[in-house]
Amino acid sequence: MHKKKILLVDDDPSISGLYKERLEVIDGFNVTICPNGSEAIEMLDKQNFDLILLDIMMPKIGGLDVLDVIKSKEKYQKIPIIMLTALIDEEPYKKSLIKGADDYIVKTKITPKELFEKIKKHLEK
Amino acid sequence: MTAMLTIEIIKYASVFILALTLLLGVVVLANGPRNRINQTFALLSIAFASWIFTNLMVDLSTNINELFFWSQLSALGPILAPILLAYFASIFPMPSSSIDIGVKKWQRIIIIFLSIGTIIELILMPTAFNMQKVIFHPPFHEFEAGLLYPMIFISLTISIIFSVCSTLRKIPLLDKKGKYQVLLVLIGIITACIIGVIAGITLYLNNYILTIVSPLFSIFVVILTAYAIIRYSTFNINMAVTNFFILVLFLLVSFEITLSKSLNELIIKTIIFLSVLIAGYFLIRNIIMEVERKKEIQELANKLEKSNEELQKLSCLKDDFIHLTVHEINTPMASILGYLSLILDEKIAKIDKKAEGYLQIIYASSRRLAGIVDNFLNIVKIEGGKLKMEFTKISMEKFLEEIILEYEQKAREKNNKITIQSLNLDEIEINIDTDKLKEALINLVDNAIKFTRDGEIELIMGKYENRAVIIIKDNGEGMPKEALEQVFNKFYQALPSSPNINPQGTGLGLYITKTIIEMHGGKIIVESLIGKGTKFTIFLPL
Repeated sequence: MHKKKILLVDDDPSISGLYKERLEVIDGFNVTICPNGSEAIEMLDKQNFDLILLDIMMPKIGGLDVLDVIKSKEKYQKIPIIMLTALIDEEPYKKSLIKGADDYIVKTKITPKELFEKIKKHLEK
Repeated sequence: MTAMLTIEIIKYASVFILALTLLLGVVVLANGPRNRINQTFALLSIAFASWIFTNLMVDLSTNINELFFWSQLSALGPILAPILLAYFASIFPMPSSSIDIGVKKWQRIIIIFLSIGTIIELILMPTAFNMQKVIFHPPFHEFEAGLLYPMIFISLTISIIFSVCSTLRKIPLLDKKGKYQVLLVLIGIITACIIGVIAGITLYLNNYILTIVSPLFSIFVVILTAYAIIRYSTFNINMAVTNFFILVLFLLVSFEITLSKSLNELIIKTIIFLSVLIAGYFLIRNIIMEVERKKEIQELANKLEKSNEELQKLSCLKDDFIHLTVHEINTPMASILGYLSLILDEKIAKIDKKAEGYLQIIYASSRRLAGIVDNFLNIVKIEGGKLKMEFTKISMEKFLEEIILEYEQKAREKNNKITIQSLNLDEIEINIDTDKLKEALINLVDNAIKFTRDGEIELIMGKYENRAVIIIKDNGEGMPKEALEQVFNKFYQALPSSPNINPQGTGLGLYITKTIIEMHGGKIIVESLIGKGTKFTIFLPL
């Protein structure tokens, strides 16, 4: 069966390592890691992804700007985007939803297992 | 008849304008006695006033000698006015510290030229170059003017053109306030010139040779310039008017003394004079003190405003710093919690029982730390008035079931049973900020689990007098009576009755809970008995 491809954009290697491990080893996804926004935009041109996990506070291009770029291109518009961030303020949460993110998850408030459940739900939609 | 009436009207107008010119000069000087602009304006007012006064005296002369004397002296005002007007126009308005306008070279040359002209004119004033011949012939006397008058006319023309050019040059360089001030002066000069010329021509065409009219139009310059100076300064009208009237009173009483006809009258008038002097002194002193107090208050208010602005900036910086710090703490925290969850919940790596026990402690402590960070951010929002509510209607049962679902596992870990029951058969809908009220209730459920072992935690919902009621009840440790009064206070932690129970918290949770409930227009009360358990009752408007 075709493995679902996930693009994980996060500048923190411990976080990206954690989710890659969980989502690849246990859940059988194919996870590609990008440490910043500009690389993520380049990667999207090279490969097709089924879902994007996007951090907000990153060097160079932040997650909200990447979201703008993705949503401005028609070919990416159907890819579900989950914002995965350590920011617990209302402002980035609201901005993300307005800009078209499908979900907003605070890293400290979710276990890797719960994250998998959320991803599964969005891929099934 | 008409001619006589016109002359009478012009005479009265002259007296009025003379007084007004002097008054405005005094007022502006009182407003800033050490300011060069105010001093120059006061001198200019005196020059205009002297021009008006001497022309009036020319008209009131009763014989040829008086007429000759006053007509000679009437050149003084117009001799002094051009240089004073030009100098004033070159320095007004005083540029603010951020703008350096400066006086240009051409301006300096013209001012030097006008100064030399003024000196020559002053030298020529008592000579035959001034008034060569006068013929006493009321109401229209006849004059044969000397070379001085064309010189004055040239000086005045140069001065007016120079003043207009100087002020126009400054307009683009000045801030809004400066532009407004310069514009007022400009309007004053141009209005005075236009009306002066029109009036002069009209009177000439009607055969009225009235020298008395010529200086009257300076009033436009005086009024508008005085307004431009005092409009933006810490001017105090009380002080200026009091000073002026006391001066007038003082002069009148002094004059009265000179008219005394007997010793008794002299003594009485001298006593009155001294009384006026003393009363005037105290009045002026009181007003000066009042003005100084007002100035001090104004300065304090300005300082306060500045401090307030700085505080707001600091507060924004503090908020940014806190948000950044929370983010920086949360990122590694998420990593710690995530890996521990992989090991403990999903058994992704093999570890022995002892190590698992230690990791459980690390996991619980890390969760606690994450909770503290959340609470900390909530407190910052509450204290800064930035906690905003977004209300939506939701079924109360559904809302409470979500909480139970999240906490069932945690309750089971301590062998606690968590249940939900409704006192009403029909569905109750509540208007709440779901996330925030959930946070508030989670604090209560979390506490109930923390202080209860092998017991029961009940969530009861119902309606009471048009209010929704939520009860969170446990049969755990309970709290002493004295703790109940403080339990909602910031940083308060009730001491557990058993040493086996670690309170584990910042003492902020219940404070946040209470604040969130109150922001919903609700109320929370607590009842507790040691060894019997605790009951929190929440009332929310429907």
